[in-house]
Amino acid sequence: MTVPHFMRLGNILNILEQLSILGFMSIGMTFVMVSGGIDLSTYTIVSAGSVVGAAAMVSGYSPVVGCALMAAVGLIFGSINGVAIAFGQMIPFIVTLSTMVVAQGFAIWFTHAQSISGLPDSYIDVVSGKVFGVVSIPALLIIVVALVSGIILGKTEYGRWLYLTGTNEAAARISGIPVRLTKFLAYVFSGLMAGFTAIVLTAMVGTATTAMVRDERLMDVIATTVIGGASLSGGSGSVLGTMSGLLFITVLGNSFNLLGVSPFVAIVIKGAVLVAVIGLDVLRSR
Amino acid sequence: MNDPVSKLRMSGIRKTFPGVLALDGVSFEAGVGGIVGLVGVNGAGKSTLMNILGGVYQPDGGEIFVDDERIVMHSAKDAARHGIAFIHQEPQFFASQTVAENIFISHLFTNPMLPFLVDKKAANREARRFLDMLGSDIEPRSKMESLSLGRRQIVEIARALAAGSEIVIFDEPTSSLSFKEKETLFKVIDSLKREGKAIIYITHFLDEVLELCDRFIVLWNGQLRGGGAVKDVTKSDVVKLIIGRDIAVEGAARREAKGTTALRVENVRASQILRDVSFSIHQGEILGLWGLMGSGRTELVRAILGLDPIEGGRVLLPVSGELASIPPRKLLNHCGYVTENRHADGLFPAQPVWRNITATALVKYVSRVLRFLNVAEELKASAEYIDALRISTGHGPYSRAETLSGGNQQKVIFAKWLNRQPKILFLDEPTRGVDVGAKLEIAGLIRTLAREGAAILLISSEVEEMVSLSDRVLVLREGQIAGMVEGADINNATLMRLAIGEERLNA
Repeated sequence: MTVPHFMRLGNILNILEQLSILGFMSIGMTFVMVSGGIDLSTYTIVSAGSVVGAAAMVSGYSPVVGCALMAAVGLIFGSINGVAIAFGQMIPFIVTLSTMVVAQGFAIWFTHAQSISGLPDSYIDVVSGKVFGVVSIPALLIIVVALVSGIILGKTEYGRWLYLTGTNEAAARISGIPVRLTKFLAYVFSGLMAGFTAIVLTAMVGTATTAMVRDERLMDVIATTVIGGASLSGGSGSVLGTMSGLLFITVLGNSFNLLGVSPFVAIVIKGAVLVAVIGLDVLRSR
Repeated sequence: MNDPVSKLRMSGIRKTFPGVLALDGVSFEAGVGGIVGLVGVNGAGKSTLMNILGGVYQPDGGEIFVDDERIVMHSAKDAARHGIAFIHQEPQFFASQTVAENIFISHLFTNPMLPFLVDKKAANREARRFLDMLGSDIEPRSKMESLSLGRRQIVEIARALAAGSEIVIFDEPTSSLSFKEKETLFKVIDSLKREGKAIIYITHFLDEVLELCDRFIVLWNGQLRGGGAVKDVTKSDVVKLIIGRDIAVEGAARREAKGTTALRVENVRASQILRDVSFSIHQGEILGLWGLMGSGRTELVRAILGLDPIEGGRVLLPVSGELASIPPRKLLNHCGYVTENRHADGLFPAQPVWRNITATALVKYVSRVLRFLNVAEELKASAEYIDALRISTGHGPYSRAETLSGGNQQKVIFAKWLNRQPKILFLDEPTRGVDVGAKLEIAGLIRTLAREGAAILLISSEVEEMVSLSDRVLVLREGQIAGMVEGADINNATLMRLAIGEERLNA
């Protein structure tokens, strides 16, 4: 079976753009999962950041301020997660599930459920534009972020703290690793990645809405990270792995699209893939 | 005492585990309305014997009789059917349910008209009746979680009564009780006795046997060492039986010459059991910390290192010749701490050996700018420790820690702490769960470290290890110092006497 048009340039660029949407969130999720947690809230934080930044730009602030606000909203929600989980010792699943609802509610309250359009052209043109007319800015940005975060996770002291904390938190604490700070920063980083997603996605779509990212994208993010080698029990995963997982999930979704598979059937199939991968993760850690 | 009607008789019980003869033909009897004390040190076979009586283990030989009728049990349920009840150290209960609901957990009262409804009134009334029998004023309607540990235990006893148990086994029931709770418990046990129950009371505290029991038996190394009526014996008779033969252990060449003080601990109170613990460790010294289970050994180390809250007292370290107080959290940065359970808080199982070995000393491999790790240096240092400690791994530093044998895992943990070059090492059961060869190697390593000037605090439950390694031994009993033993006095008998509480030396 061959997929028509798959290798066309237009389609490849399409894939790259999709990559960037999932990419930031998946990289954030990788840090969190290595530390032994999970972050369900990123995809609604994107909407919260998007509407705040867009509202600022529409009311006359510069795109720089708008983008900074989007990143700041991500940082704030990430810090809330981090404080509750690292210092309040609450369960990541429940904390980030609550933040997910809070961020969604905040976006709807902030906009009265209206979408915000009329964004300045300077913002849209720059962020969704192309460098040298070929590589899109979002694609370039995801490559840079992947490189930097890959180095942080793989080569620095902080990266090691994440792996050791995720492998055995009690042993890490006794070994003198600042376990709480480590976990806190992972969620802050994940929030920042949601902010980046907001910056790129709002420009690509051209409007800010209360549902920038569809619900099933959360599943894609988890699947991407787990396929890339992260374990739900913590201590493993890498940015390079996540990027390959990202490619797999995006190509899979794109192929369904081109083959004319109903999007709902596609969701079912992707869900099944996720369960299978998590099942493998459990078997692997036995 | 004057030949009570026999309720329970165990005769010639044998039990082997792979490679170990845990019980070697043990026989004893418990009578109606009598309390039998079952004493012995850790590993004497008390738990195995009681697990057989509780239906958890099946004996390899011997017979059990209840009311002169031979019974065979295959499960804990069978034991309950024969009227045998266990009261555990840590009561097992449903915290959010009421006292009455906990007492009747296995046979709820239902409404006679509507049998699918629970009759709470009847349950509360019946619970009151059983609690009265025990002379307790616990309110049946109060929630289990609102009760103190001692009162929860009494509810568990009421549950045994309600289930119609005739034989009640107490397993170290006082180890986490306050003094007052203990007195209450003894009164309750006395009322059980008057109800005509046969009671077996497991403990390693002699005072409790002498105070509470009518008869006693002593287990040692899986054998019945003796027993009899409590009124016919003195404390030291019983001690002799408990200690058993003096194991000939080659005493270490103990060094009298002391180095400078490496750590001084003053009047530490913590974890509700530790009271006024003070001692010093010197450079180049191995200080043994001895005591029975529940005496507070691990708790002491955790409190000193700031891993559990400390309620009082202070810890002093030498700073340019003078001893200065140091906050416990900070102390851990200067020390190594091989924990009691490597799986819980020692090892990073899914990580390679090299990442385990450098985990405590990442600072040594980090660049000043951007905090990059020098992995080549990490691998080199790990390879050196693998060599020096003769750690056998499949793929050198790259093997995942979980693939190593227990002894090698333990050596990895030693390497992890040595990599920090600490002046003080806390070793909690450093040879637990490792084979004999590794045990000897680790013992040698501990000696070498001390010779090179490290101050070592060693906790071990194995008397041979204590005697052969320690320069001095601090004995803890129920959270207090029972004595400091030095030189030739470090032997099996002295350590046991102090730990059990026959005599109290001045610390």
